[in-house]
Amino acid sequence: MDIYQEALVAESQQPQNHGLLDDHDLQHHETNASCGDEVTITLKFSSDGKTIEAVGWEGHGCVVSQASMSVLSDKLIGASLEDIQNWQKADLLPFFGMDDISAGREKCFMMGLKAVQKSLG
Amino acid sequence: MYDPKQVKKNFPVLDQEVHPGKPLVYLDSAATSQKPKKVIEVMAHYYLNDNANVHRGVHVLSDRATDAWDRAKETVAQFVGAEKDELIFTRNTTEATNGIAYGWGDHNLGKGDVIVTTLMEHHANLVVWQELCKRTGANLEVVGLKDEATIDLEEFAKIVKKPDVKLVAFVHVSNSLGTVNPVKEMVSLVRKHAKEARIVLDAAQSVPHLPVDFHELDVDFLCFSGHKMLGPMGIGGLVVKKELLKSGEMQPWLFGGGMIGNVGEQQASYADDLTDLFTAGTPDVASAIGLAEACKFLDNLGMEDVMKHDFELVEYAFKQLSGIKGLEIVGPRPEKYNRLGSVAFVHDTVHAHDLAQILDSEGVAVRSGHHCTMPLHKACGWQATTRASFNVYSTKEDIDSLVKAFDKVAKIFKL
Repeated sequence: MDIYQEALVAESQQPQNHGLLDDHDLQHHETNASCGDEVTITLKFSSDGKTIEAVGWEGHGCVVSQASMSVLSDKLIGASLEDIQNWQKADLLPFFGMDDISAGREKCFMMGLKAVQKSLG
Repeated sequence: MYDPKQVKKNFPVLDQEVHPGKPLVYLDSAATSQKPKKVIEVMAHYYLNDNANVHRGVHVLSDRATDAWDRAKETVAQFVGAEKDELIFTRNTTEATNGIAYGWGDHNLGKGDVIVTTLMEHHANLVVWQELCKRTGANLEVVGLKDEATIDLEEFAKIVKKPDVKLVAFVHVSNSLGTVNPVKEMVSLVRKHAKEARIVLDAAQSVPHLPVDFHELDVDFLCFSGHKMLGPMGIGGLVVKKELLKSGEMQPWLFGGGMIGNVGEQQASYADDLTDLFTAGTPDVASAIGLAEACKFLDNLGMEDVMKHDFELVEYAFKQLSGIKGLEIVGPRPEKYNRLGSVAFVHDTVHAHDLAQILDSEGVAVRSGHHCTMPLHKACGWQATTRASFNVYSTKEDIDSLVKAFDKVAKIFKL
C-alpha cells in the first residue's frame, strides 16, 4: 500500500498539538539513531495523575514520523497512562488506513509512540 | 569501448520488476554492489564439488579446497597491489579496522599518543579509534573539512606536525561526499612530519571504482570490503606492510585453530607462516573464491575504464540532478576525477526518507540517512541525505530514471 496518501502528507504539513507546552509535567527528547529524526514531547497530566490532559511536541523528520506523531498527540489527550504503555503499531495504523508498514519505515512510524512510552516508563 | 549495458547482462538480479510495471533501477551500490553471475556460480561450484576444510586433510577434496583458497588469496592480493602474505582476509572493512586496533594499536600505543582521523570518515574508521583511545589513553584528533567537501589539508598538515602522532587514518573515497582524497599528498605529509606514524587507508569505496595499488600508495594498512566490489558479503581484506608483519609490530588478534605452531597446556607458540598466523579458525573459502572471481571480472573490464565510466556517471548525475528545484548536491563539484562512486543530495522541503521511499515506488533504489557518517552530517547541518551510487553496471539511463522519478515527488508534495 502506498503510504504517501494526501491525508498523511497533509497531516505532517499541518501537525496537531505542535509546539511545546510551557506548563508541563514531563518533557522528553528522543532521536532515531538510524536516520537522525528527532522529537521533543511535553505532557501535562490530569490532577489525579492518571491520564494525559494536554500534549505539545516539536520534531524534525520524514512525513511518516511527523504524521504519526501528530495523530498520536491527538490520541494521547484523555488517554490513561496505563493504556498508553500497551499501545502498539496496530493502534496507530488504522488512522492512516493501513494494515501494516514496511520494515524500513517502522522506526519512523513508531518514533513518537516509543518516545512517549519511554518518557512514561 | 566500455559498454555498461553489456556489463549489466552479467547481473541477473538487475533484470526484474520491483513493483508492477516498474523495473529495478539499482542506485545503491555504495551500500552493497550486485554480484556477477560468474561469482555466484564459482561459489556454488565450490560447495557442489570441492567443499572441505583447508590445510587440515590429506584427501582430495581438502587439497582442492586448500588450492582454491591459496589461489583466491593470491588473486585478491594482486588486485590491490599487495603480496599474498600481506593480505589478511576479514569479514569486511569494519573488521579490518578493528584488526588494526587490536593487532597493532593495543601493542604500540600508549597514554598521550595521538591518532589522527578526519570528519568525513565512515564510523568504521572513527568509532574503532575512539575505543582504542579508551583502552590505551591515546588522544583522537579529527581534521575538519573545507567547503563541506574536501579534507582541510592545512589543518591536516598542522595536526600531523604535533608530537606523538602514531596513527593517521583516513578514507580514500568518501561514501557520503564522493570525494577522492589526495592520498599521495597526505601520505607524504605524514612521512615528512610524523616519521613514526603508521597510516591506515579506508579503501572500501575506492577499490571498486579506481585502480588501487597498495605499494604505490605507500600506506601501512589498507582496508576493503568484498561485497562493495562485486564479491560476496562476509569477506573483505586487511592489507598490512610485510615488514610490520615480519617484525611482529602487527600481531594476530584472533587466536585458536589454524594459527598455531606448538600448543601446550599453559602456553602456545604461533605459526611462522604469515597467512596461517592471521587465519584463526576455518576461513570462508567459498567467499574467498567468489571475491577472487569478482577481482577477475573487474580486471577484465580494466580498472582505468571502470573509473572513467564511473566519473562520467557522476558528472552526468550532477548535471541532470542540478535541474531539480530544491535539490542541493553535497560534496565537491566533479572535476578531473575528484569524486567517484556516488552523488548524495538534500532537498529543501522533502526529507531524505520520504524521497527514498517515493523513488522506490518508481523502482529506483537509493539510500537515505547518514550513511554511517554522523559527525559529517552533524557538522554540515544535514539531518539526513539521499544517495544515488553507482557501479560497473550503472548507466546514464538509470540516472534518467532517477530524475524522472522526481516527478512523483513533486506531485505528492505539490512542489
